[in-house]
Amino acid sequence: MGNGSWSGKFGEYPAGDPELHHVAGTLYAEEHDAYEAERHLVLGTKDSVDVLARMEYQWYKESESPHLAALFAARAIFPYLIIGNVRAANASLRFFTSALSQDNAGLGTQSVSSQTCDVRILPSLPLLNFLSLLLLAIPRADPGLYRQLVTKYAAHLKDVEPWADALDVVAEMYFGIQKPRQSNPLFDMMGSLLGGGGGGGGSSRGKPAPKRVEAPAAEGLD
Amino acid sequence: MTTNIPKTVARLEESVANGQYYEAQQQTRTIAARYTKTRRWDAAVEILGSIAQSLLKAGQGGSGGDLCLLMVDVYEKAERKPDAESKGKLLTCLRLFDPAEPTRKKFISAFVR
Repeated sequence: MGNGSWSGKFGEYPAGDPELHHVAGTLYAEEHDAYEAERHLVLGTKDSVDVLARMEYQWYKESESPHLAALFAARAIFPYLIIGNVRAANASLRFFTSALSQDNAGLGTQSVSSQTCDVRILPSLPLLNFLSLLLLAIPRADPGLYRQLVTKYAAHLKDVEPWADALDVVAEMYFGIQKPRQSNPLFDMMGSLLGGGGGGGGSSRGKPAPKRVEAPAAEGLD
Repeated sequence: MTTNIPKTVARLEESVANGQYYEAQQQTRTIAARYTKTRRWDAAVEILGSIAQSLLKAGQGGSGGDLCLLMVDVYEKAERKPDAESKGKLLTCLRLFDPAEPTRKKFISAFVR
């Protein structure tokens, strides 16, 4: 594999050396180049997780749209899930929930603790709760649980269409739910050209390409 | 070729100090190409890295960045593995760039994309 960069070609990590990603991402984060920072930090080191969550949270605060917290948290959480880094996804969510309850005394946090888990529920931010429950459900790998969750939050998920692609990937990776692939004429054509046997494009191997999750761009951050 | 590398570096650094940026850049390119041809990778990287740094410190982002890109090229030809030393050389240069210098993004994506 390798993505064409020097460290991807000659190092242990085909997606590029994590330390180099970390330094580049941190540099971009300091310069408020959020899109570039995200690309690199997601592929960075353990230290990148905090830098990324902090940047998204800062970006969220600058958006002055209190109800959009989940959109910004998701910009870290989904990419981490899609590259298989569940631990970093959880750390990012934790950063958001604790920063939110620290900054907003009136948010009315409810801590739900059991022997196996510990979740902070913020009743006024349903999509953030959806993300919390999604992360809790992931270790169980139960497709029924995933469907239940998506059904319960359907009304809210309608508002975040950009999540749809990421959720499809998460559903497949962690819950074994394969979405019938929509026919894509270009893919079908390439499939038959490459001798894939044609057949409606349903049999693509491997994981779908990671998709980016877009949140509305915050003003004043360009 | 039995060139004394520190001496060559010192001479080129002096050109930079005297404001002869273009000359320093071109001579560095020529010398590095000679080393690369004879597979003296370390010597090529040493010259490119040192003069790139001098140029960047002098605010010459374009020519400094050009030498930085060449350094990654040499790493590729040498099939150099990313380790503390090889990465450190790149990151030292990276930190000297002006954020507004367009070559910086090219440099970054040459070593990590």
